[in-house]
Amino acid sequence: MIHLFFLMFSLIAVIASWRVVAAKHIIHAVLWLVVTFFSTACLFVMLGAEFLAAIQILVYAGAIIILYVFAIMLVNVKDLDIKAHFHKHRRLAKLLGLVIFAELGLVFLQRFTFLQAKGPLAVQQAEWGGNSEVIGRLLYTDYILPFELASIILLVAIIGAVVLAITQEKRA
Amino acid sequence: MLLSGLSSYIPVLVFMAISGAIGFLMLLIGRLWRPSHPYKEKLSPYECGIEPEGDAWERVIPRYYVYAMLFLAFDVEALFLFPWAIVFDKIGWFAFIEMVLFIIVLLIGLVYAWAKGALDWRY
Repeated sequence: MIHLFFLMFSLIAVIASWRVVAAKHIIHAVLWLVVTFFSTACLFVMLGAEFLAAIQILVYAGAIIILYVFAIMLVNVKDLDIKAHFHKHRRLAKLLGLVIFAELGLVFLQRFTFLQAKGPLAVQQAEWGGNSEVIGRLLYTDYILPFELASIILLVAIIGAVVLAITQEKRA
Repeated sequence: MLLSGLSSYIPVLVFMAISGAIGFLMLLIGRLWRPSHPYKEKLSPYECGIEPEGDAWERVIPRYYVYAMLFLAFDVEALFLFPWAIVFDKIGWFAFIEMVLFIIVLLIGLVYAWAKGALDWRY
């Protein structure tokens, strides 16, 4: 049963992500990306990573997609020669694709031993219960520094967005 | 009865199936039921009753992007609040001070955006 669902969601994810790169219309690519994010979130739930699944839906399928749509609306997509632009980097794309394929092959050859491996999260999850609770406990005790660092990174993102937009507006 | 583990997601799956079926059936029944006599005026995009003007591919001002970007930053901030709220009573004041620091750093960003006028809507 669980294998059936895994197969279903991973098949949806693979097909949707193929559609993302193969879509003729850029908005269609973004819509297929939503499908990809959603099915990936379903896979996260099946792995017991509910918090990650919630983030995937809220941030990626929600906010990031909005950002993508705005970015598309900001530029004049119709006048852009997308094909000519991408085909320039074909050789690089092939190389990168080969590297990723080799990586996936290595994982496959190791017979998914990483699935049996239990990280600190998995061990604690059995002890403390919920996935979000384990993340909370670890994040706000052992991993304070990365957590506070995240706020700095977010601050940089905010300031960067404001600076870019304001200077662009003043120039226009 | 309390469902445990993955089987607790069966109701979610049922919801997904039902909502998907409703959407699919509405479109399907509509397609089978309605008469179909398309002509040029009927197929043209409706723009408040007047003749459509220009293209749908219009560039929007970058101001929208700032709002989306700010939304994203504070969305991620809000996400950090969820696990914090769950474990708050177990960790106590330490977690509270941590979160106050976190929010103060992000408030600096909000104040900066406000002071720079990124939140005003000018034309």
